[in-house]
Amino acid sequence: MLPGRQPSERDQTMRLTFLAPALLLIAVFIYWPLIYTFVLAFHQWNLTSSEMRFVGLTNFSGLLDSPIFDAALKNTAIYIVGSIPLKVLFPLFIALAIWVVSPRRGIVYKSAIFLPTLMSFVVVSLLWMWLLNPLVGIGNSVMAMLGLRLPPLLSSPDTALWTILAISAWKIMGFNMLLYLAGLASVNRDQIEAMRLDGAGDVALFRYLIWPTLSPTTFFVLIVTVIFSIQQVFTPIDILTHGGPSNSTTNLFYMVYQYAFQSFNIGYGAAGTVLIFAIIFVVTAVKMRILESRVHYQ
Amino acid sequence: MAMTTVRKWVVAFALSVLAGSAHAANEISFYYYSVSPNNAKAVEDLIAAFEKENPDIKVKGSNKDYRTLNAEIKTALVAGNPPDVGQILTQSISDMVLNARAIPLEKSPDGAKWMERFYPSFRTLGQFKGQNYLLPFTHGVALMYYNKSLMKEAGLSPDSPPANWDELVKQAQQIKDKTGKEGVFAFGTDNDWNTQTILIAGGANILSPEGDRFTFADEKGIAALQTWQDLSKKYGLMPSITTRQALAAFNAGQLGFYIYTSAQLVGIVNNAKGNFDVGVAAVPRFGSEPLKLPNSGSGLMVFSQDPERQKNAFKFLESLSRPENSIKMSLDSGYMPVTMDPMSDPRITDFVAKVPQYSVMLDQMKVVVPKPQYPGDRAVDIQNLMVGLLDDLLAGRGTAAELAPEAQRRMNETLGQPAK
Repeated sequence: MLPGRQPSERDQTMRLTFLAPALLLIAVFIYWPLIYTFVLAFHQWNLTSSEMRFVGLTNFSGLLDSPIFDAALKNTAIYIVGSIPLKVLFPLFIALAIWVVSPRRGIVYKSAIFLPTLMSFVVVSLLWMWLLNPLVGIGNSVMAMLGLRLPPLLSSPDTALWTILAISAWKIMGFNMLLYLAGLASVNRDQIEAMRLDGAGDVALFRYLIWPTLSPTTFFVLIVTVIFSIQQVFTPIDILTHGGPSNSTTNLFYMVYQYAFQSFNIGYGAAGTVLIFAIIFVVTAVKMRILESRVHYQ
Repeated sequence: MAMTTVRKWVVAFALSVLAGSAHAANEISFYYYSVSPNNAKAVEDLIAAFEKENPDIKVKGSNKDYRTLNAEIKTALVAGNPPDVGQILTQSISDMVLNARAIPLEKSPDGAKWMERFYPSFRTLGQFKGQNYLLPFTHGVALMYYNKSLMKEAGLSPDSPPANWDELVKQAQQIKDKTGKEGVFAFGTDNDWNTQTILIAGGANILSPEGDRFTFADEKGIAALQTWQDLSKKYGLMPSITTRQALAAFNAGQLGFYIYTSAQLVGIVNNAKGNFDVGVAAVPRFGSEPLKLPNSGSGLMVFSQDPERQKNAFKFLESLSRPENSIKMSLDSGYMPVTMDPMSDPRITDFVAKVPQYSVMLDQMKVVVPKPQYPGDRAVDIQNLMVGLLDDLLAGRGTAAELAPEAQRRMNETLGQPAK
């Protein structure tokens, strides 16, 4: 149907027919579990029992009182805030550095930096676990050559979270860099030349041309990174620390897994999921309201 | 023509489904775990031997992480596809009976007469409310492994390993000072058996005599936990690493003493060949407290809900209960031989002649006491709290006197809140 023409009844039927399979899948695998999670959040259930008891808001109050929740909430905030420089800003500067070198050299750098993105996070976690073994890891051997000693980064509650954050940043850096490079491809070279002729330096070029052009990409990377920062660190947490030591690396997502699929306290797990949903919803809405006005779409 | 083709496809599909279900009916799904490659190989050998004897039955073994194995069984049960047999830690028996519909072994067509092949105390470990649920399979005991070569290098006598924790501190310090290597790794924070072993070896009672509440935070329990924390926080002799990293370090000759389950004995001895001399001794005593140690490990439970599949599962358990098979599991790993009168088997005496360190494990069987079973259906939460206590001590979140009573309070509180 061409734009401007009023859709006929047949067009409407066709639209619905084409949309139906996708809508059905979304309804079954997204909306129904979402609704059912809300129902479970108000019940006490251990998954295997046929008995499910309505408990009102008890799961929420119990969850909020539990010491693991405080640790998970605080750590989630650190994972999100710490991700911004590491996963949003750092890849931007790497993309800029690659953008200015020759295409042939750029391909080499791009490939090298993108490689970790292609690896499974399980493999990445195991790899770092052995690299960071403070007694027999390669990291320790390198430090020993410098006369230093590798601290137990993953076993200390002071450093374990930051180590996981750094590993997840290393893994995602190449992907975000590629998104920025795609955004940089739309920077108008003629405008750069014109600005240069007018005497603009690198800083001015970045501030008045590149940064505004990249703002939709940055906005996308920011939203995805925040969501990933809650979800994506699940694998390294599970493989490297199991949320420890002393709950120092757990986050809300891992806490839900612990309650739902280790303790089989489905009510707590569902209540935690509802809280995560609310947090992501609010954070994304706030970001869209505040940041979207500053994004420049061409 | 088109209809004929369609009909052919339908018939082919139906046959393949039927063939698939026929195959599935003669398949035993088996979830197990292993703490060393030797253990996994021993299980694979036992499966192969069973399949050879029963060519019409296929055992589909899945090697799992022991920390998530119970959860995987429960989720598979909810999905209507539980494994027929699962390897379960003894402290989880009540949880798996109450929450995962484990089948009592007495339901076996022959009444599980083969359970009499096991030493009575190991049979008792697998009982719940008067019924047998757990076939004894892999029960270990804590041992102290030590690097004799490092001891010599540090000016210590490799024939006099530490007999108590004071001596352990002195010798580990000497190794660290003289060789630059790490001193000791004793009981990590990877599972609750570590907490149990420290407490029981220190003379504490984990549960009340009625078995309905936790009582470990008494004078002896706190003293034992403090001794363990001091190793790391006061003396700086125990590096903050995971058990897996510690084993790798010990195998690489970078660690003086490594205290963990006998399940790793054969693997450690084999690995050390040609690298360094490895010694094995009893776990150091806490002061003058006579040594008592809980068993580690697990047994096998039946989870299949279908009577036909249960028959095959029981057949598999019968095969594993035979003395030759349980002794093979012990000799290939270092787990205790769980069969009646194991010492009458010449394979044990032959093995001791070849691997003298194995005799230390046999000696330690005398001091083994049953690992306590957690009451109620919140075993997983209790396990997490037990592990969390060691985690908090290692992280320096407080002293044992500050942390143990609070952990005990939370465990008792959890017991009062059933999951259903």
